[in-house]
Amino acid sequence: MLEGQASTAQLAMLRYQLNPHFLFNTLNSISTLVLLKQTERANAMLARLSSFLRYTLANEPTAKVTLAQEVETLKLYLEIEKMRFEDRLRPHFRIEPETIGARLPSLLLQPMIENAIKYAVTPAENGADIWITAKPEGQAVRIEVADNGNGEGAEISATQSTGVGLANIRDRLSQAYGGAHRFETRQNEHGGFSVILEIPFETGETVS
Amino acid sequence: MSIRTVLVDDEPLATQGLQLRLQAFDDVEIVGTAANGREAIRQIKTHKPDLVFLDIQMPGFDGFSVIQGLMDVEPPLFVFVTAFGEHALRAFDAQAVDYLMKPVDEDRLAATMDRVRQRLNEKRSAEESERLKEALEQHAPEAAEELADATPDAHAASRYEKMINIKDQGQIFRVDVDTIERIDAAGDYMCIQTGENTLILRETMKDLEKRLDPRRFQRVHRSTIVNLDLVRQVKPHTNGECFLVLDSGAQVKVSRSYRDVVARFVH
Repeated sequence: MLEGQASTAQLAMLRYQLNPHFLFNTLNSISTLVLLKQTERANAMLARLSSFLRYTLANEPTAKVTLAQEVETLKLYLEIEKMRFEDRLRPHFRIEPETIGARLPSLLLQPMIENAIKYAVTPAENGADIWITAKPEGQAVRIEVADNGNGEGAEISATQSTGVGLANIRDRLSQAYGGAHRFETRQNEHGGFSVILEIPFETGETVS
Repeated sequence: MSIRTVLVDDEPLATQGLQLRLQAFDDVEIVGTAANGREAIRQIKTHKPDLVFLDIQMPGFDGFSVIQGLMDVEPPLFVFVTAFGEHALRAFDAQAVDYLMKPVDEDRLAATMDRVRQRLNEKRSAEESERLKEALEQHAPEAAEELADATPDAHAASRYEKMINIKDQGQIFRVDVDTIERIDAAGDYMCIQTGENTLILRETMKDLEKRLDPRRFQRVHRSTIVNLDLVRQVKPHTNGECFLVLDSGAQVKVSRSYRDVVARFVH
């Protein structure tokens, strides 16, 4: 019982933290659209931002969502970021259909995407591609977020980000699955940086 | 007089937003925009603008690297524009005129532009008087000399900072240079002594010396600069060295190599 409380408190601390840079840059873009009198675009962005904020604020840190829901939220977030970065941000989803019902802690993947934007897209004049793939791997689901940021970006990611965003993912994985998960980072075949998770394949019925 | 301006931001919408907001100011003429640090350096070197609005987070060189990349040219005035306040201290360190948050508020921008105009006027009048002096020296050297004696040039003084920003323990102190009694070097740090207070600044003595009016701030020792206006007593010592007693009562040794220099100022 006490242990349960402690781990809930820890999870509350580990919950997804909205990045203030993202919020203010997005508000800045919307403000420009208003000045440009592009009301439809401005309105669409406000609607997306609202949905994203609602999702990040409403979800219990312990709640698990389906991969389909998680991917929807990532797409929402990426659409907002595309308004800012335009063609410099090129996301690609490869989600194998049999994985979409798998359950995982909500917003677990969000920091991986933010990490790729921060270290691969932002520093490169031509931006970067980000591949989000999910596939079954035995009794587990394997999820990879890969970018083709240059070697320098990958190096920075490997050192700096493990201190912040990725360490947070690691802790949440331990909280949710104990030792029954895998987490690794590597230099990928695109010359960029990859974060790979393997988590137990849980479906709707098995609520932890 | 128009203010030639370059805008630097990697997000096209952000640049556009600033451009729209600057339309309200008749004297602002946007001569270029850049989407990354490398382009920014090129634009600034090509257009030699008066003013640059600079985003901090950018591909390649970030905003601070842009400023470093311009060491070899006459620097424009910089206004930092950022989404979130974590770089404020560094921006002040980099001698930015101002620091704006996105989305930029119109009234706040008007205040920035007032500050920019004031700085530009100071800079232009200093340049103008410098040009006049040079012209006079060429055509009428005697008159120039007389002028120099008669006007202990007010303009030249304005080239030096009246207030300097000192970051100490995470806070920024604005120090009126009039109150600085002496500056002691301690390794890579400068200890600014104001009589009441000691503030620590990370800067080389050489760089700090450049920011201060040399007619008032004089190096008297390898590791000490003194405000000559606050010298109250000169006490000779052995070996051609001497001591200065300052307003606060502090004593400062003048090394032999600086003795002549000091004698010219302290009668």
